[in-house]
Amino acid sequence: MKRRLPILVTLASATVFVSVARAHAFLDHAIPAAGSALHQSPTEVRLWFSERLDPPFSKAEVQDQSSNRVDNGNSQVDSDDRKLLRISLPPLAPGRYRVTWRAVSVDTHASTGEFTFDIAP
Amino acid sequence: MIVAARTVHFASAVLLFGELLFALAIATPIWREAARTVGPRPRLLPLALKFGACTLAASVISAIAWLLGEACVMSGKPIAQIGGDTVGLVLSRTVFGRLWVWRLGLAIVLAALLLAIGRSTRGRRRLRLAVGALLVAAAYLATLAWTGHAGAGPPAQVVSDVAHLIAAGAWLGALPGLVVLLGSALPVDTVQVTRRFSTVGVLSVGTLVVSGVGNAWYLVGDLPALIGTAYGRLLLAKLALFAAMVALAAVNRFSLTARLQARHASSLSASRSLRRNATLEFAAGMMVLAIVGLLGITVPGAHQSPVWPFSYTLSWQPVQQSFRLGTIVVVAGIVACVGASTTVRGVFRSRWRLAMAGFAAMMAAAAICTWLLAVPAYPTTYATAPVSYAADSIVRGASLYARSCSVCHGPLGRGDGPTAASLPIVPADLAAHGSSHRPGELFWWVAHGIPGTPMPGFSPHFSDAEIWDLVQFLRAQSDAAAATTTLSNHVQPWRVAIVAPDFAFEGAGREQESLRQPQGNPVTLLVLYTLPQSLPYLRALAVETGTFGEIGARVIAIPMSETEASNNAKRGGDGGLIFATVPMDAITAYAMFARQEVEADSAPPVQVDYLIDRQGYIRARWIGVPDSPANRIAEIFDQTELLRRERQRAPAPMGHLH
Repeated sequence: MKRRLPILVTLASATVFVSVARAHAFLDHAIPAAGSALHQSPTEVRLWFSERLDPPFSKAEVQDQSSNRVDNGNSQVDSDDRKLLRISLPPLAPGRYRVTWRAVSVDTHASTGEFTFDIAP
Repeated sequence: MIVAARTVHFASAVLLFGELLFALAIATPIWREAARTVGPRPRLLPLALKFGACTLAASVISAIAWLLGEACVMSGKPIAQIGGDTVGLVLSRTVFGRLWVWRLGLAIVLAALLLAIGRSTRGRRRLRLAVGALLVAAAYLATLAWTGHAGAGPPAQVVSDVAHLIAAGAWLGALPGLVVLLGSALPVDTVQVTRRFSTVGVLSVGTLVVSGVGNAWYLVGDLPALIGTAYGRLLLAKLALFAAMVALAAVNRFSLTARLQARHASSLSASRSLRRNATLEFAAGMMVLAIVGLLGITVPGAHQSPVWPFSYTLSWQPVQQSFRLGTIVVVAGIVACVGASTTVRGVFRSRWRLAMAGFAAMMAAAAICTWLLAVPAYPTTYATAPVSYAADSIVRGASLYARSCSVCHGPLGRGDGPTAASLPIVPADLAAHGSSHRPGELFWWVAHGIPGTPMPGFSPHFSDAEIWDLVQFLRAQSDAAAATTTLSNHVQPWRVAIVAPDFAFEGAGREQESLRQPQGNPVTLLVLYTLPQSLPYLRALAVETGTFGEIGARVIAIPMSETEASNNAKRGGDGGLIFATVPMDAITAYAMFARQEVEADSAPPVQVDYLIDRQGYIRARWIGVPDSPANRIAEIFDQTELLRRERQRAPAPMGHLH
């Protein structure tokens, strides 16, 4: 025991970390892509995040240039892919739209963000 | 508030487990043996049970506080507005909440067991109840792993985290028991108690180290993140406290335990020192748990852009450039290892001169390595770009470059701009530097200039976002120069990595897609065509749609100019072939990679085909309209097959903050 301890002590002085730390869910990818211009009105907005989400508190909404809400109000976390948040849209007129999202990851951290996309006439 | 709740809760869970383990594994056997030989001891059981009950109560209260805190964070409402329905939602439909219900159940079972232990009179029954309580306490502590990042990570991380928690509980949680026992028992007990505790301690330290390294791998990832992020620095503080605890434990184990067996006076002072050290260890341990509480709400280092605090950093670059330096570094490394092992041997055999010699050798070797490997560094050296490597970013950077940089650096970044000749120092060849330097370094030089040279700083004239766009363009420019010599119509086995910039496109009757797909990318053939020259080739591609689909490849055809593709060309848009419309940015960006000469720019070709592998790298390129479309397509099939058979690698770094 006495011989083995020095090695352990030397190793111990190299690294010790405790995990129990958290990540936020960041937006990895979106369709429609942020800042893009579409030629046809999309049927839904899909947001892929870096972590799995908790359904009750993760939501998104889409607004037009006058800050009126234009989505169908049914944003939900996809049941097959817990990293995907989708919200369906009715047919939209050309213009600029803003997507605002709030995501709560399974390790309980909340993050928010927004981006815009255009529909070209 | 969550930080305080977390700290108290962790501490209580650790103590519950540790004290039960101590009682069962260390104290009770020795107690019973001592009772046989020396006579009955004062009963410590009521005290232990009261301590257990208080700890459990603190645990439950802090658990409720933590739950309320999480409800606030999750719902975004302030605490005054949290109602029963929000808490109910958290408890029933979130991972954290459901776990909390289980843990509350465990706490109730533990309370019942403790009560039963207090009530029972037969030793045997008490022992069995205590073992049950130990298992429940272990589960109570281990399930904390799922409240952290490990809950969102791979199973290996959870295992590592559970091991870490249990090991911490066994060591830290048992320390109060050790202190109390040392203060009450006779010396003959003390030696055995400390010996047994040392065994637990050593096992615990070993497990903490191994599991800690594993956790750090997932959550910090590399050294710049360790030094350059808040999370990393908190971790370093935790490491320092841990080192202090291990040092105290080592003193206890090696010098004080031996002295306990000695003559009466020396053993009494040794016992006092042991108790003092153990108390200090415990205090340090509680501070570690406070840091853990704070770490829990901090973004892990691996997910943040590090800010480097020093003016220098270590890099292998000098070694790569000079063979002589490399040899010196290797020799110094060997000397350092020999020195380290000599030091350790010298210390444990109490041959101090040997230890000093070893230590000196180690320090000298380390100093030489540091001197040789140091390169200048800046706060942004290890920063990650906040924008992903996409066509729109590159094109924005290109227009900034044309306005402000090409006057000195030249249109292709060769350092041959109109004013270059008049400068005292020749502008750098950006084509070479664009990919051999970290993006963060390029960012710093563009933003702040290079002192001692004519290179000015462009911040705040350009915003940070604009400078990052410029850095992305520099990378693309450098890749385009490399492409002139490395891209051909054959896939090279993994040479220069030319990343395919991301872009969004719409196909006829399809929703918008992007080149990079979150579910995994197929091998992609990207065709930039011009009508009417490319028409025969496109028709041939359309015929082969099914085959492309079978081999799992995707074909995207985009026009070189933004005019609408002729309806004649749109045929069979299902299966593998997509005729897409894209913003001009994507076309401009991909036209860059069609250059065939390093020195001079040429007009973009009529047609260029790129073959992009599953990781997002451009691996092959065909320029011009083929005389024989069938031959070209056959070649493409062959190369696609080569790519499909390649080993899967990590995806191309898109420079995007995660």
